[in-house]
Amino acid sequence: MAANRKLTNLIRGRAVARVEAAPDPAGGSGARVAFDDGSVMTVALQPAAPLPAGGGARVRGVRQAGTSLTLDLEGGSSLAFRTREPTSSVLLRDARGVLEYAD
Amino acid sequence: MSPPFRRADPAAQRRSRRRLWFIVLLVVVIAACGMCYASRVRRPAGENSAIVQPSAATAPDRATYAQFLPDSSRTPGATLPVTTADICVRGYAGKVRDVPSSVKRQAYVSYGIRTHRAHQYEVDHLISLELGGSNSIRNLWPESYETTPWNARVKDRLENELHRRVCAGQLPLETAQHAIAGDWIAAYRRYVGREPLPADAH
Repeated sequence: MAANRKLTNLIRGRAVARVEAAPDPAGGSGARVAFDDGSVMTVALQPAAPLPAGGGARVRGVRQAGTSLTLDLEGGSSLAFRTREPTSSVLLRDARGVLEYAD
Repeated sequence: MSPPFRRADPAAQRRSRRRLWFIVLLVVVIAACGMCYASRVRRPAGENSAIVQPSAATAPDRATYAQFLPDSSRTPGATLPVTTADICVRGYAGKVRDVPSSVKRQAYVSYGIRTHRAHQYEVDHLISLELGGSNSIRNLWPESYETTPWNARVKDRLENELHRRVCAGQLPLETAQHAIAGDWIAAYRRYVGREPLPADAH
């Protein structure tokens, strides 16, 4: 799976505070990943895709291919998501709500 | 005494039958054209899809340039959940991930393009990134650089003009998105205001 450098460069070093289910603005299911700096990443998920559990560890890198999105965390764990589409599924806003990344 | 029964002239009967068949054929052709046109402009309701019907005023003219428009069933247009404040920040488009090669290939395949020369097409965002368009396959189509008078470079002028108007507060973002997704050539005529010059196409 290829590295997503653009997203890696933005969130590397941020600690995952929590991962929770959140409705996708477009109407489907989704995940909301909150980071320790107040930034929030929303991920539109495939129907019935499992929500990964995790929190506390810092992001080491992001890999993405097709509908697989994986946040590799320090300590060797990871958060894996099945995105709704290969693109157009991830949005990151900083603590002030300013858009940092969209795919 | 009643008049003797007169049989109609066989030649006149044949003419009359031919005329009837011609009318039936004409009705069938008109109905088929109507259904074909309706299927081109109907857009499936989907998440974030731009659902736009061309106005009655533009519909007849649309047939003359339909070959320069994307297939609305494959490319209805799709947007990101972003606001005018998001897109009017310098460098906004740079925050959006590049379209993966696999998705670009999918766009070509869906339009039946198996091979192409370098710089022959652009995998274009129907609703441009600068107008909040997304990288979804529903918003991507191979647009020619080479056709005239309408091509990818001409569409770029419209995208810039719509972005300028949106960020100047002259046009709601949603209106701009619907205009470019519904019929970008009609939108060009409306918002750029003239037919493209040869220089615009290069």
